[in-house]
Amino acid sequence: MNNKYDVIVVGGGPAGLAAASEAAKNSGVRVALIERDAFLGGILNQCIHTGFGLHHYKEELTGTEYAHRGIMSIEASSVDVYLEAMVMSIDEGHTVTLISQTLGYVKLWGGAIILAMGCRERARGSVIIPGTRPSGIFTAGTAQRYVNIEGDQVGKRVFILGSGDIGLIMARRMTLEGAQVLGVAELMPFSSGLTRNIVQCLEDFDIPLFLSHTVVKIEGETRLEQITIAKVDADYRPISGTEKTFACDTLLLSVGLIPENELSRQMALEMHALTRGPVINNLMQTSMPSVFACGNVAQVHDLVDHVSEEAERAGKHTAIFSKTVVPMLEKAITVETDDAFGMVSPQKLVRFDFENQPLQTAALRLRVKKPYTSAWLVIKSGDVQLMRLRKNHLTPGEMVHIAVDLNAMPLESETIKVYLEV
Amino acid sequence: MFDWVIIGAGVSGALIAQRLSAYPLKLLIIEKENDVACGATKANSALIHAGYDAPFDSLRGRLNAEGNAMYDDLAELLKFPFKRIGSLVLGVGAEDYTALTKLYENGLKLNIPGLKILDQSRIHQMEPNIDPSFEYALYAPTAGITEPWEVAIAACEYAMDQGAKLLLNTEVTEIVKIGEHFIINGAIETKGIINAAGVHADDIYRLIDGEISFAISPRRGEYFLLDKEAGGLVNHILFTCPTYKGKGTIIAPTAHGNIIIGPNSEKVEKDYVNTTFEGLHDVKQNALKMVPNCPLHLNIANFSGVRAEPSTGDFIIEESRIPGFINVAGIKSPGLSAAPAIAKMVESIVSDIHSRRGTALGPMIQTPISRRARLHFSELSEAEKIKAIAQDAKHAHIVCRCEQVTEAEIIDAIHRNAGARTLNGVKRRVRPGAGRCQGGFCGPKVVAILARELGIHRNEVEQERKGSFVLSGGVQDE
Amino acid sequence: MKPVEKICISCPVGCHLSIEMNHGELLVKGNACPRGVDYARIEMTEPKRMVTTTVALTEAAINRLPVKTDRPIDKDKVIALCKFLRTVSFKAPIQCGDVLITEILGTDVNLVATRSV
Repeated sequence: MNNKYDVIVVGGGPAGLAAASEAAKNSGVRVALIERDAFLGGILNQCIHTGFGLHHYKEELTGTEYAHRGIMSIEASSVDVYLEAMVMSIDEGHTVTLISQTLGYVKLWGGAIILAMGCRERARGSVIIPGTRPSGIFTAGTAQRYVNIEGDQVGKRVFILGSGDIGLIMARRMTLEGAQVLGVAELMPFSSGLTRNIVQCLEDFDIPLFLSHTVVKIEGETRLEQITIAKVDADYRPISGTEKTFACDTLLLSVGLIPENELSRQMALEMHALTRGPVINNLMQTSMPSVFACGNVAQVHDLVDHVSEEAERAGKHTAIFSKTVVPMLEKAITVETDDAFGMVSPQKLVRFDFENQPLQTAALRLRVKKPYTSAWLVIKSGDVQLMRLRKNHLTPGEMVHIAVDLNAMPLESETIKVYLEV
Repeated sequence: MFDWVIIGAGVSGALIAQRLSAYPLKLLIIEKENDVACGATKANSALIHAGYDAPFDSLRGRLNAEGNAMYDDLAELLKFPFKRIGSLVLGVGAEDYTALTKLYENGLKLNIPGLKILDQSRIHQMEPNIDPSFEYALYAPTAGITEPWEVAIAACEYAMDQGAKLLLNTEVTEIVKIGEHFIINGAIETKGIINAAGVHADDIYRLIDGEISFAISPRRGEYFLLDKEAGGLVNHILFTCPTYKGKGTIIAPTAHGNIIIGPNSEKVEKDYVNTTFEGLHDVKQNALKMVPNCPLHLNIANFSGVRAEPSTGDFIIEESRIPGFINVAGIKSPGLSAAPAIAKMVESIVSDIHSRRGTALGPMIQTPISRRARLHFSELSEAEKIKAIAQDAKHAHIVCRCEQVTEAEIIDAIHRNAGARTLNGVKRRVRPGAGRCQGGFCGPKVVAILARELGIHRNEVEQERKGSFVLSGGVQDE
Repeated sequence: MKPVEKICISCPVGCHLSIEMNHGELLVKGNACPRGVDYARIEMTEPKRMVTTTVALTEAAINRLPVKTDRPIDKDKVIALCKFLRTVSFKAPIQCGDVLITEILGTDVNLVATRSV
């Protein structure tokens, strides 16, 4: 077995599929794709609902169909796929140690590594809900796996905390499975889910949405028996006297996603406080030159289409990197944001690719912390304004995409900062 | 007919069973829950106190000092994690200094090794993250950390390996004495009973003695458990002075590198293990007073446990007015620290009873030099991992990403004596689901493994207590 | 007549539509693309929804096969369709895109597999 690769991709979800197949399009680039599950596709395998592919494939697909296309392109490529294989460590940015159910303990060497491990769900501990610890409390994604993959029924009377898209999708899913969904509570005064999901997942089934509410009590000695919700004030503290109780056997938590960064931390990559993923540049390169990151491991996306686009970029640049004798070392521009933003990616911008070809633009993604009907995005270097554009309907549930003109960056600027002006 | 029935498979009952299993006795452990270590043993601070705190002339003081000293050998015998990392009682101001000195002197009377009062520069060197205002600390190098449930699980397993029996899911509701013997629940005959029923020890004793002279009133403590990312926040077990506002709250590393914070202390109903906004808020405030940059946002779980507070104020460990019935009651803090010494004390009471009856307890039987250690795959070297996979291919299936637990480890945890029967039972033994995702990824996999290994349907797999089913029926079930 | 407010669910943009019936003429405002007008017309007369769910699967490595309707089905038939689909079962191998049931529940809608197994 030849264990030497040009590019090794860790994770066979949408990011890994796109990155691996794009890297393998370059002749002579040997690519390995490592997936812990028995199937490629990652979380898309449990996303049986539609809403995927409108940007990438120009048609609306289910998550499973979207995965199918990615899997087909991997199968048609020269990529070596390692299934049921868990990456245990990555050393010196090149040596990947994995444990495979079929091959056992394996070490691979990669000229470049692409991290595409996706994200995980925040659990009950991260939101601190007082009460007992009965069964019947699931993160929405875990419940989705039980229902859509294993074919289990997780509960009959369901309440959902968190109105992100996963929470909304699961409200409909549980209803179609014959369960009664009693309501969805959202801590914020707005839903971070897509408005169309509020229509087709909640309103279609008369499921109430309680904005500015949270779960304040969990009761049940064995299985969940009852929850209490309460309205919260401007500081998100429960307001006494506003409590409502619901008798239910299941509580689904859809309270946020966090990049899965065990390996990134193990490698001591520079991490970003806002994305909670590794700091990356517009070539998707991390602080360790041979290590790249794309998809939800770098920052949590709201559309898989953007994951694929970003991953293809990672695949392309990584393939070049792996074949470049002396990788370019250019001083990068750091991207900062003001307090209006909860996320920015990438956080570094370079002007040249690994073949020293000048790049014209860089795609910048930002997430606002709260909704704005209209606002100006202003990019400055010191006091110098570089860019100013108007954006309508900004919401935390949808990332803002802007193309930054790299030629407009003053050569001497080390930092640019994005401001939101209302 | 059993020689001894032990009621309650917490850390006291389990260690008593383990000690008595070295004699040719017929032993039975009865537990009302569906696993061992389900009461106070599974939810406490997980500390082995040095022993300077409880009064030198109390049973608690004496048994804490003695129990602490027994932990090294016990950990070696039963193969549970134990590290002597030392503790610091932090203080500020003259009042605290007096309090620390009192603790120090009490400790000296109990011969607690290595006690020292350290000055400001030394304590901040040892603990860079503590509040700068702390001026001195009582240092006790022999304080340690362990996994309390694993101590009890290991002790039960060891006892069962020697032939002791374990009866789970059995609540003792009736005890009748006929002649020299007892009949429990109308079916189980025994020559003696050891009541180690935790917060229910008074209820159990009342079954045989209507004029019970003690009562157990449970006190609840609430905790935070932080992600391993917070590891290194503190290097020792940190207490504050008994005079300090944040009295009682501890910040300490756990045996697996997490940080535990808690408890508060509130009088509650028996088995009332919930957490509250107020309680958690208090714990949080106290923690921030000790370690101002305490990263509470890295919280992965909150839990609470009850401790058995006796009306007498001290442990009750004695043969009761009913000959052959031994009470091991009111084992509040430092019960875990004292547990090995409690077991030894009970062994001597048992021995006296046997002598009285003219049926000497000895001689001891040949017992193994240690319990078979669990194989923790994540802790193995590369060569050992390759060897482990060669011996059992199920080690190549990493079920839990966060804690790197293999399928082989889980199967072993299920099939040992006193083996895991529930999702949390597996978690306590080998840690899938104990990490930052709290079972989000591995939960469905562990459910499948439990169902397969126990020969039950997925829908019958429980999370924790009897009836706490993870799933609620087949997808096509209307 | 007062305009009806609807959110277009044709794509993730979620345009806020204002729909007015003027002497049988449909007036739609707020749509970013022509699909908004189609959506408004159907939503006002006979609302339809895409349905995605799973069906039992045998002789495969997984227990459930994800499926979808190949076009939206009458909204009031959604629950009945899901109930019906709990009674059917399919055997692997199946290709993503295979039509599993035609003209389901007497409609012009077909049931399609959305994963290969």
